[in-house]
Amino acid sequence: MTRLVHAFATISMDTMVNVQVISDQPRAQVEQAVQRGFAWFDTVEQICTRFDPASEVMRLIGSAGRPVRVSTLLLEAATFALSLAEQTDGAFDPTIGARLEHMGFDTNYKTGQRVHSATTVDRVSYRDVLIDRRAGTILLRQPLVLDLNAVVKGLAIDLAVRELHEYANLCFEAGGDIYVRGRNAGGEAWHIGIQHPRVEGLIARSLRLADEAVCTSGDYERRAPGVDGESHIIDARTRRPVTDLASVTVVAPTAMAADGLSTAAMVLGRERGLRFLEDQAVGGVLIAPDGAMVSVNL
Amino acid sequence: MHRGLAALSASAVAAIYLAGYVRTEPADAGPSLATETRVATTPAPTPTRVASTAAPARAAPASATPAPATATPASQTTRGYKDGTYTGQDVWVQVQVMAGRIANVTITRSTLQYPLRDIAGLPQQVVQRQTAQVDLVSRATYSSMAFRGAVSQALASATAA
Repeated sequence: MTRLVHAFATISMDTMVNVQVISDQPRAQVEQAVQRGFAWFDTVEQICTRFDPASEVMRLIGSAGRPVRVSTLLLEAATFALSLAEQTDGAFDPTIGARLEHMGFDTNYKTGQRVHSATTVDRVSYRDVLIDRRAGTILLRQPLVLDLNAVVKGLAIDLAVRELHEYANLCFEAGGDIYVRGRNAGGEAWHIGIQHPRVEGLIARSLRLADEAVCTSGDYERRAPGVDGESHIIDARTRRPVTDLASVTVVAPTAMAADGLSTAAMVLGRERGLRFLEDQAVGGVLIAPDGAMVSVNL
Repeated sequence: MHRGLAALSASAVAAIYLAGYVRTEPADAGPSLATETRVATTPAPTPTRVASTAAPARAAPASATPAPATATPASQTTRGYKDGTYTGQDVWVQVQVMAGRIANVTITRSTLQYPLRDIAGLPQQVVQRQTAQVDLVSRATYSSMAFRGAVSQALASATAA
């Protein structure tokens, strides 16, 4: 039987998005579903970006002090991010958005414009975000920037692959975050490599996966321009970048979980991060700056 | 004491998907970001054919000029690249594959306002890197190198597995 590999690519969320669908269907038919998937990326970005003052999440700032009815998407993304904060005792904290701006992570990749929000930078925490799920509202107790970047790329992948539910064999990748389903074109489980955090092009470990997501968080990602050596993985309690881990890779049923949990484990540091992933019953590979590797549930 | 975050994420995704495309309407100020990403695609630059098969790895919106829309037949065991010239949407990358090896990579144009200087070093790197042992690589996203890494992965997706 001839199997066809249909490959598509686009750019969204400041990264390249790639999908391969293995299907006998003609390309045009597959493409329709893929385009619906790509559309979710735009939707998620439009709602959740902190680089646009007009995005739904940024418009919350202007309504600080009172509950605001929000879209299901923002409600769910924020709920998940806050749960992550609670369960890491605030080591992961999505309210550090303004701090990130100050570190130089402030430029809209599409327009090149820099954002500077009129917000409280210090003394805000996830406890200043109150979500009423029944009412569908979010209340910011102080004007703050919610940074949902630890979860939204994964979320977009999960939504996109739902649009592709009729395809049994596919992989969907956005900037190194991956979801795979079924088998690759060779009829085998997908073979996923984990980038070595210190040696470009070197695979630190490889995994055979099906119907799972893999995301990696690393200290080598997205360094701020002009802020030497500071990565955007920050322990919210110490306000300093994490130093005892170079990268954390998480394998989970959803890309949202893999994305969020890899970031959370990264900020927790080696010991606590390992325990955290163990407790969450997800797979993890933690790599120290010296290259020492430890894995859990894999 | 941890609640299962994986389960929580799954129900979040389901809820959002069921709610459908609830797009935040472009508010009072500013253009919608979505319209920016969905820029109409202009026809690909004339590809330099170097081999028999042309398998475009492009995702073109319905309105775009139809590409030679052929899918790549997945041959059983051959690792490496199917001969041909590949392009991608938004950023046009041409990859020339000869005898199953990446011979040349050219970034031809971009319809987005990306710092293309960031990817100046890409072509050579991709050519060097062609011995990929895996389908995909999970990695943290680079900044100055972001595009480079991302584009090389796009190229990997043009693999005729």
